[in-house]
Amino acid sequence: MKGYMKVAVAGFALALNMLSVSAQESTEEIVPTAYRLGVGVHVFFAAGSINSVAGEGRKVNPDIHFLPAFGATIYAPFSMKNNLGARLDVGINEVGTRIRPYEYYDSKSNFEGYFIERYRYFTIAPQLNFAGVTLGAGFNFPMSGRMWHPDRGDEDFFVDRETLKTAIDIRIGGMIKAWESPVGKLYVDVQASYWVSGLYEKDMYTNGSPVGQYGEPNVTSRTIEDNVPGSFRVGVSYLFDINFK
Amino acid sequence: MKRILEFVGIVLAISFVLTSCEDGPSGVHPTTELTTVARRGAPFNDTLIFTYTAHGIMSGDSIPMRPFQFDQSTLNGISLSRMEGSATETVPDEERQEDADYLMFELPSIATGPTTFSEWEVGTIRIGGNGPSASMTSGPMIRINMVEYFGVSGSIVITNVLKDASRVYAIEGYLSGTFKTIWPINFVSVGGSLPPGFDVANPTLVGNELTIHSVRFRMTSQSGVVYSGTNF
Repeated sequence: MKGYMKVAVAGFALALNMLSVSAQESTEEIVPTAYRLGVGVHVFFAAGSINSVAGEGRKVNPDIHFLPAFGATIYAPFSMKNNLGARLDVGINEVGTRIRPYEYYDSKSNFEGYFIERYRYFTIAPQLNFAGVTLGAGFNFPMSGRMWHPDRGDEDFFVDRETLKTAIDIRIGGMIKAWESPVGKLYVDVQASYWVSGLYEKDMYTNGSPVGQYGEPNVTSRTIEDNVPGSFRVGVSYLFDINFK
Repeated sequence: MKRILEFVGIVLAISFVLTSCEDGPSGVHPTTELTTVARRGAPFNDTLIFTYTAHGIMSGDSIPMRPFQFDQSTLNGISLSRMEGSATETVPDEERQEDADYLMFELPSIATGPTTFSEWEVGTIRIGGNGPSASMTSGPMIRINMVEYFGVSGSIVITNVLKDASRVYAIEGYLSGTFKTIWPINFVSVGGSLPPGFDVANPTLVGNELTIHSVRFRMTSQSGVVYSGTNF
């Protein structure tokens, strides 16, 4: 899984670079006369995320969710002559997965039954922009975690926040300038992230324990896995220009 | 500049309002199914049904799952155990300890409809020759790996009650909360010594903490538990 992820991230970065170059070629440049700091907001519209480590006897599927992240953005270009700079995103960030907890879950077979996990964080994410390709990390402070069955409304579980830790993700993406005016710039943002630290304190992930095919605890194995998600998301950011002479 | 910062500030403020936190553990964990129906294909082509009386997630040093198979009604409450009787010699030591697990709780009165009990109270704590002992006046206690934990705070939520005019035949619900042992698990009293913080004149729970993340339970009684008229 991790090998595939590396290849996917590399391919994604290449595609982004090409997109970014073509977008910049087609956009008419407004040549700035003073240093411009960008301050504004970002909104990601949709995301797909999945836990990359399943506990023994369990499987996972990707979770597609909407409005996974939003907040404020500051962009500080290193110079006005090229597209290099530092970006800081501060705001809300969500990640999740679908879990198939055991083979006969939900009175179904072949791991067809599932439920959804979703985690919400307050995130501070410093990144560097290299000609439209961004690279950085997110420091995620847990706000809440929730697990629920998609069809059974009474099964709605809120996670003990003390079992979640401050999680770190590494992220690669792109900020592609789509529109520019004298007031500011609109960017299309795409981002892939991998939560290297995992989400839970050691051995505290309720769906990380080993189980048999009927959901019974597997007493011959005591390894409790963590939830280590990867995610991909798409959105926009609008940055107002603040001029310094 | 000022207006832009105000705009960004408003966006952040709205973000926090929209994403208010709910902290657990609370609610029913979707994994804690009480009935597993397994429809097996060829060569079996059969259906197996596994039923638990309770299924929960405990936290301490780690979060293992615990199913319980047997249930019994008590005065105003429910007792759920993993095994009926003692384990056989063929069961490994580790599993045999788990087989002695039980969960029981007392309610102010037998539940006759959906409700929530969040008043948990430990009864008198006594010290005898075998160390301290206690029971619950109201609320749950649980024994895991031969260690007894007493409910300190949390809630027992009754979601379904099956009854007629005088008797309750089944109760379903779930519980989450924080539990504590009377003394620390590894404390050994030498020459009558007491663990730090334990006062004989006013004994309280000073031991290890355990968080029950979600125990879904179901008690059934064929003869029913009387809830009106002459009690029991």
